[in-house]
Amino acid sequence: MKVLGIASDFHDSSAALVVDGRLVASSAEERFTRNKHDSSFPKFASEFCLREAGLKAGDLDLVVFYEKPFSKWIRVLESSLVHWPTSRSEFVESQGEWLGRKLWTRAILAQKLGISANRVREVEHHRSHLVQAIVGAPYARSAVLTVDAVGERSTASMARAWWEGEVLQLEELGKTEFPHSLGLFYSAITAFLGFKPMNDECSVMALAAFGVPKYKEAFRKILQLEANGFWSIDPSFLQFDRFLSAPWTDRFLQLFGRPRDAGNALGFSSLRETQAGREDQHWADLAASAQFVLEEALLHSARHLRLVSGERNLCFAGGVALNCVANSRLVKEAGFAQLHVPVEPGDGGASIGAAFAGYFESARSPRKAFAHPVYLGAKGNGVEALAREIDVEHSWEYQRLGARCDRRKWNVQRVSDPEARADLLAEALAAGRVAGLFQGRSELGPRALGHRSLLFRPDSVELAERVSGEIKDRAPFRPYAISLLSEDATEILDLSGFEGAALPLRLMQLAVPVRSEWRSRLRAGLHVDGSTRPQLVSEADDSFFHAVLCRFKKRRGLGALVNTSMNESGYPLVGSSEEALMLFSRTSLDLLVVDDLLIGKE
Amino acid sequence: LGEQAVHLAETENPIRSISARPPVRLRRKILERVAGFINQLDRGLVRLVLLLRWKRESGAAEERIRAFEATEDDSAWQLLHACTRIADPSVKARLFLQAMEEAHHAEVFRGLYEESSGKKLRKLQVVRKPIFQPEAPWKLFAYCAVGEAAAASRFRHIAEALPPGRFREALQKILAEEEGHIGLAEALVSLSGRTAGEVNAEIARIRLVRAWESWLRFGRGLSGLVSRGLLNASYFLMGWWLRPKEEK
Repeated sequence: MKVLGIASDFHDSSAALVVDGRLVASSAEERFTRNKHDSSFPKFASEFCLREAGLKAGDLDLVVFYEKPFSKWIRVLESSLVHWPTSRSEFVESQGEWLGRKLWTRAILAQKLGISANRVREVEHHRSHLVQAIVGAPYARSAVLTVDAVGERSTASMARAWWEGEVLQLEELGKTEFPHSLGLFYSAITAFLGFKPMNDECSVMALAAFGVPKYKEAFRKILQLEANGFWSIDPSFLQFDRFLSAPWTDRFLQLFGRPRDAGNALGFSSLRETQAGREDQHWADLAASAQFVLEEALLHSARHLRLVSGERNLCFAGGVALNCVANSRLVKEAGFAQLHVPVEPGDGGASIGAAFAGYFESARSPRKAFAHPVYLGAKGNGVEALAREIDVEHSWEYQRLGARCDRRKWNVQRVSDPEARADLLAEALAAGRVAGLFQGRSELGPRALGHRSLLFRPDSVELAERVSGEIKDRAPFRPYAISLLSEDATEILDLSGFEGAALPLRLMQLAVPVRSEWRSRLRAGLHVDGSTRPQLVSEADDSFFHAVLCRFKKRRGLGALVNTSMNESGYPLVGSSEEALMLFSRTSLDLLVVDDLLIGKE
Repeated sequence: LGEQAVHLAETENPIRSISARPPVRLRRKILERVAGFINQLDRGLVRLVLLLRWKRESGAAEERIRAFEATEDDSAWQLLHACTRIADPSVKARLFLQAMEEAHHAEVFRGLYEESSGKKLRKLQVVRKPIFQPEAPWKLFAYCAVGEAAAASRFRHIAEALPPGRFREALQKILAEEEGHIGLAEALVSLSGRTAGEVNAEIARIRLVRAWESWLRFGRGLSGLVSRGLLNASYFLMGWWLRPKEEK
């Protein structure tokens, strides 16, 4: 049975293809369109999934959309009428979109794919997240928690899941509904702090490390924990039905003052011991307080779920599961033995959940599906001929671009032996060069896990500053992450309390303290609190990246590298090898590895 | 092929040299007059918009810069998308380098926006519709020639109407580079081995498509206005109708 899952029309559109219970391909649309968090219909991602399986749209048995548009529309309509007569602009904005397009998703999907509308189904948003959380987890039974901004009405749900033979069983244990949303709460604070909501939540998490949660009592009034394991939001402070304009009320503004002006850069740096941005302390304290209550609410839910489900393993999905600091607290304090977070827990991965939900509901004899691979995105093209063709010295475009691009001459070599290739890459990295690694199929999710990564030495703050300034145009308060040999993890990281986190530690889903004796040697990849977001690399996970780390260790005595996503500011992770080459040519990146090709700058 | 195209673009006016034969003189004259009239009309409209909107409404100029950024970024994407699907390495390289320039133009507009507004630019999401057709790659070059010419003409008109300053300088610089792209795109079309008739027909088709798309955009804008009006009316009606009885 062939099922295509589709997530679109909100943010992070994606497609996923399940064939006979196996996830064959999945990708976010942004990887093909270079529109970060692209919300349009995932045309390119769907085409890629079908191509990967050698199928045509007509071969699909089922197309499953990740939420129920009609139910969502009713909620949006109600929300925009609640504040009548002052919510006119919200009503006109939202209903224009809904009546013009979103409400007819089923017909539009059928038309775009060229199939009958009978083959298109819709599943509830949180069911997509629930299934998404389970299918990648290697557990026979588990408790499941999903927390995000909002689906149709649900904003969080709890369930118990188990496999009965080959059939997935799900028992819902509770849910909470709009407007009581932890995701929207955090997004509102994101907007208040001058960042883009549904996009820059990671910036709030990063900023929180510079502050103290001095406003936690105030935030506890806004976000109150409830006996049912969830929470409620006091509407006299935040009104999410007015999210398009400003969700905060006068009462909120009396407590915290005016929102931050996005035009003023924050003075903090994750790479400096002493901070220059003391005038921004208020914002950092706000971020720290919001982060604190978010963690508190998640812990409250997880502990409740542990009690009511009686399960020992927790699967956690939804956009809030991207918060690695909160995930760490769940691992250590929620009382579960194991935690699993899908590689793309947000809406970008909900297409996977939708596809599996459709599969389990419709397949006559479904096959148990779990522990699918991380690298299921698109491959690159061979770019050797292209790289050899580009004449940096004489091409007229390079002449015209002049100093605005890196004009060092390229040196292109094919190195078929992976050992030799790993050796050359490690040598360059050890010598202080910044390298891009583009290999095989792309990783799912927003984090670069060694297939679309920029790498550099972890002991050099100067290199980190160079990458932030010249390549990524990245706010200095946002820390980098580290990839390290899994065999060295316990020596370098303080993993006490993280025993049940083998899976998230492989996927950069936790913030973990680094042992003090290693901090200076890993400074470029640490946050100000001495923590990092590690990716533990084993040979079984990625033999080439593991080999690079081993060879780097031989040279520098430490098998760790700073690993950040291969993209420029404002763009998603590179989707094609040509795009990687463009990043290489436009920036001061020293070396690019595209599969077995090494392109260096003199 | 890419190298030949560069040579051709530098030495002559390739598309005009193939599309100019055998011209019916009168028809050409009429077409030139029409093109000249449209050009003058566009120049006048640009001046009017600058006078009425950019100078009076705060943020209008920034919004236009943001739209330019999105257009240039889309051009870069179109070229890069074609580059991933073309086999000839020299043509691939030309597309790649042009994509790089377009990406740079987008960057220039980003810088202008941020300088002028004091805010980081939040990119507009453009729905990607690939122009490249694998079975007829030359049509992309024809499209580029027409599209770049239209963009260059628009940039020229804005630059002429703007007072001296950073925006004007940036537009003039980008304009010069876009003109280089037109020459190269024309050279690639002429080297594709198509007959003058085919090229002319394709160029006419592209112009028609562009005109049709403009018309559709206008129509969408108009129907958007109407539907907004209807939505505004239904908002007040529904709200009043749904209000509790005692409030009525």
